Amino acid sequence: MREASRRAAAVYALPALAGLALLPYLNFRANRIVSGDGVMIWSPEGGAIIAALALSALALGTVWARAQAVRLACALGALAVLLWSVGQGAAALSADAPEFARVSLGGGFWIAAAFLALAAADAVARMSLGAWARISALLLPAAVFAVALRAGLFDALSILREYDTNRDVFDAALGGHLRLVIGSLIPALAIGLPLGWACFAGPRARMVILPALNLLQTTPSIAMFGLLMLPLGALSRAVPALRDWGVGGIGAAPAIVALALYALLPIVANTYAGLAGVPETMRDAGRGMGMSRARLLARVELPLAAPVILTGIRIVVVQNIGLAAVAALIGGGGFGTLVFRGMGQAAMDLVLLGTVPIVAMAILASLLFDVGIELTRRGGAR
Amino acid sequence: MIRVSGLRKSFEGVTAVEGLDFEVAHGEVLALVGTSGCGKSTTLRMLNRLIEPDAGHIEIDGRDAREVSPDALRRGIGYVIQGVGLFPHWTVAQNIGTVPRLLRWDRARVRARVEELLELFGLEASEYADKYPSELSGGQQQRVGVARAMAAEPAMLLMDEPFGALDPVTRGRLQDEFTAIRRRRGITAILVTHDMDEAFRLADRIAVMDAGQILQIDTPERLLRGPREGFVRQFVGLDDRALRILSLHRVRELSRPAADAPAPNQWVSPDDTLREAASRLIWEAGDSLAVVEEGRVTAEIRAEDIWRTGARGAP
Repeated sequence: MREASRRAAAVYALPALAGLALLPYLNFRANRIVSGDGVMIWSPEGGAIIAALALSALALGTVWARAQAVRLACALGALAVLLWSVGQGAAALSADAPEFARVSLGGGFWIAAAFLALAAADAVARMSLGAWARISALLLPAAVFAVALRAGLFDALSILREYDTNRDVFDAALGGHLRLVIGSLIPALAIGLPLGWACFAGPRARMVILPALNLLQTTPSIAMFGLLMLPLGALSRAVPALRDWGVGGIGAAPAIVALALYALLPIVANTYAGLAGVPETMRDAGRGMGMSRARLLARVELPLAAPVILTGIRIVVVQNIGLAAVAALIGGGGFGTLVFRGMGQAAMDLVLLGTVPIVAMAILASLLFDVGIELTRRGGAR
Repeated sequence: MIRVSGLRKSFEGVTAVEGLDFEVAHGEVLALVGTSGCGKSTTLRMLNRLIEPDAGHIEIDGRDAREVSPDALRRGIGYVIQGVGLFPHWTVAQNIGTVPRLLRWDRARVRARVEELLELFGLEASEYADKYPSELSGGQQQRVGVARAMAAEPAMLLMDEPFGALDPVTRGRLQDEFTAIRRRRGITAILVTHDMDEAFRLADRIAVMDAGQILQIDTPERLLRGPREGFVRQFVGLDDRALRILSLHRVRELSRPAADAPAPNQWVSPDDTLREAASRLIWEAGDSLAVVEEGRVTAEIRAEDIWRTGARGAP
């Protein structure tokens, strides 16, 4: 057991260190679009040799440590040193550089950060904590990071310079992205849950609904956005009042409709699977004691199916957080705006400014749903 | 009092139950026995209208079962399903309180009833009320299953293989407990089982079913002494019928007066069955046994009396 966890730790720690040893952890560029010069972590203008040594010691500590809590502390410590030296390095590099010069994150940083995060997640998983303890073990470091971010530790980095110049766009994108995800989830649930129940209640409905949704799911997202522009455009022309509500061929409406359609299959399929997975004896017991069908559904079938249904909703939310980026192509807003603008300007930092929040949102949503699923399992699957 | 007449049901042209007539008196336990597929579970499920009969008449305490809505009917009938069927996401207390809550009993009354039933089934309320079914042993789950069926003081219990999935020792203990609770509370029940021993142990009368019909319905002893030809003989099992008859009788029925004395090595208690007494006599190669209550001899039982009870033509 301990050997296994040690091997796993080595799998994370060694690539993290190799990444930092072989690739620059920062890139210094004369302006935002030219390619730049790599800066290694031990170079004097960077985090300096002390940071490199501390980081190596902590990374190797994850392999040496016996207790998983110590491994977690080492991994988080290494991550903290890495982030600190990135902030310091960027500040030092841009201190006496011209205004257009940019310091961006290098390949070494991304590799090291990813593998150290994996090492931390692995340690948390091996501690077999309860849902809430697990989420706080991951959210606490995130909060520390957020405080460092607010305090300006990373302000010299190009991604934050981009944030500084695009602050309005970023804030609008955040609101727009949330609106797309939540706005599509609500109708998808309102339609998907009853459809899932219909699939469960009647095999004939199932044989129509599931293949149709499968077909929907295989439509490429850009094609779907395009296909929706026509009917929604026609609709808003026919009923001009709808335009006040934002319904039109382009904008958020077709994006929300498309995302809701993509959400249907996982919700319907998991609702059906969850209800079908409720043992027949449960229904027999409920009906035999005089529960009405509605009560049986609300009190017995849905609670017992909840973990499976929530898993479907989790898939949908994570999937749509990512898919919503494409909505920017038809003027739907969201973080895709930053990504596509960055691509247009060949400014990778702007692309990153759109991508990192999407990834962070997806991870956060996934974690929250994990807790929800575990809580609904209580009693149920023990 | 349950009166069933002319009950018939077929599924897609295949007859499941045909022309069933029987009655269960207040406080009586009737066992429906037979091989799988003989229609005994179908019969049980028609009584609470989980299956609607094609024809026939079911009367419960003088009321036609069809006059009541199915849900209301079922709330008045305790149902112990095959495989326990406790709701895994509800605590023991919530499970037992299912029907009382459906009947809108107030909280305090439900709580009091739950505690009373847990105590009746030998489960400490403070320890078990808030546990989930998965935290209980198989035997405890079955107890809670029966307690749940009895929660709203139903006119009768329908029990579908209630102790089916248990090991023989636990099953025996639960059967004894059920008998003891019956004696204290008076339970009217219809019990479905394929286990003839269980039927002999728990039922006042046994209906042997085959191919959707009742072949014979009688008390255990009359069934053993006078089984009709064919399937009933085979199913009742005549090889050890003398011993089975003995197991239907208690030592106290045959005890004779004896002088007070301390308990000897081998003895029986008045509530032991004659079968147990016979076994002990054979083992000891004796011809009488002391009957002991609270460490003192109170009576004796003689081998010849036991043998006579188990003999052909005995009363």
